[in-house]
Amino acid sequence: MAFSSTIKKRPILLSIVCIISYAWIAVAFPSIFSPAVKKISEWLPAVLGIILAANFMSIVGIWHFKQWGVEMYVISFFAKQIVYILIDDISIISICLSAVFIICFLIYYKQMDKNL
Amino acid sequence: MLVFRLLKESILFALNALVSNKLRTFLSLLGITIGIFAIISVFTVVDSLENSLRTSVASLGDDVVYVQKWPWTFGPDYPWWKYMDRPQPTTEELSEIQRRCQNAAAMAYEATFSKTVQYHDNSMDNVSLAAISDNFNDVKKLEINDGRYFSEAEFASGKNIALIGDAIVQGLFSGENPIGKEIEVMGRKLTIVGTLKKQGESMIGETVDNNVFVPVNFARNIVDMRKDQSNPTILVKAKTGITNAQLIDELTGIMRSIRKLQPLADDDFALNQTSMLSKQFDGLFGIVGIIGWIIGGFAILVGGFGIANIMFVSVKERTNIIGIQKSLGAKNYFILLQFLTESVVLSFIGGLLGLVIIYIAILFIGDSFGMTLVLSSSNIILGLTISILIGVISGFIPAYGASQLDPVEAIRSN
Repeated sequence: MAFSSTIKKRPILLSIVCIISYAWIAVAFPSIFSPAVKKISEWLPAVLGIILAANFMSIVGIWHFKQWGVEMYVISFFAKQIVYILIDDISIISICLSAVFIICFLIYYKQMDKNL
Repeated sequence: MLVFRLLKESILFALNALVSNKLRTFLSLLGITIGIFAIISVFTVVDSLENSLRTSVASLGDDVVYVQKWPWTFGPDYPWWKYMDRPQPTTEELSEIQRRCQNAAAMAYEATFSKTVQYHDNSMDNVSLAAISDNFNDVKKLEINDGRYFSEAEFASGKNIALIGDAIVQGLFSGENPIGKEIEVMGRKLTIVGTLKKQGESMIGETVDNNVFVPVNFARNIVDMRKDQSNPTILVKAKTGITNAQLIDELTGIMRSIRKLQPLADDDFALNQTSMLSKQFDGLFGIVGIIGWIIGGFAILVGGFGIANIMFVSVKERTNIIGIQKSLGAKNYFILLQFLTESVVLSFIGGLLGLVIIYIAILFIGDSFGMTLVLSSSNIILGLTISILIGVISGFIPAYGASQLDPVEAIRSN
């Protein structure tokens, strides 16, 4: 397949962050459907699932060095925090890690491709 | 409107692609079907058993505290040696609690014995002879089918009368009306004054169908009420608005005072409540749920990889079509949506099929084994959510790859 060559422009820092994020999503995906989450609310797995899917798509976008990836990542980050505040399960470590990632993404934001 | 038109077009494209490759579609959705079947069937069984058990436990009375010798805790570390020398609750203690307790709506005494019951030539072994005090009906409602409950005078005098469960009626009186007839227990005649409605056995084995209820003042003449096997219990029902914790606090003080325990001495009685039973099962159901979730999770993961693989193949196969579409003006997001929809539809159908199989299995199990399993709305939502998300996650990378194709190179490819 002949994909466009934007991948080559991705800095190594973003590659590392993206790989960590992919691994994190792989771990988090089964956990959102755990019996413990299901017990909190009937709709919680669905809501967390949508946020996680958005998070995954944003990482794919960042991997391709696209601005929409960063925008989607920030939106999914805030959506996730709102849900965690509502269920009273805030994790400071997760917030800090995401904040560091967002800073990394914002450093390269202007160099990223504006198109889809 | 444009969004809906695009979505409709994408769905039609996707369905067309799926229908034109029937075998491939079937094989790739099979992974998701098996995954959803595995995870949701385990959740369904666990939820149904849990609900059934909770209903059974609740039938014992959510607002009733049981004053007993043995606490309702189980497990390998149960310190039975601490409890074995404790005294059994007595009817005298019941009278004292009745006099002092402010938070109780009603209270009663109960002790059960396994006995043989006879009526003419018919006899039944292992019948539960339940010796009860007055007000028992206020703590645990006995549903009378025919006849009546005991009167206060009958309780006080210890009259030889009985209320019998449905299994006893069926076992001893085949078709005859038992009211006014006499049955024999341990050589003593008992006149039947009432029969109870058929209740059926709950998951924890609680039933009144096999019971013969007699006034406690009668039972004390024929059996040793302090026998450990009879499990003597004082049942205390909380007043409306009073929590079990408040009632337990009050009962602890009263029981310690009745038994004249020193301030530092341990309680020599147990105050049990139904939530203690529920807690014992929480751990068990939690473990079963986690096992099902892990097994189903792996199955879904495999299904997800299968869909991703099929989507890559699909993009590869249709590369020149994508090139033509792009050269005719199709936007990147349209190509993305087209392949993403295909993946989501594929996964959604797989999930739906998994849920249909579970539903059929539930009907079959219900008919064949008489088990009541319920496919709850939360499990349906969960199953469909998982399948849609698997579709999105496994289809996004191939779909995005397709949307980024260079039209000239794409048309040129074979």
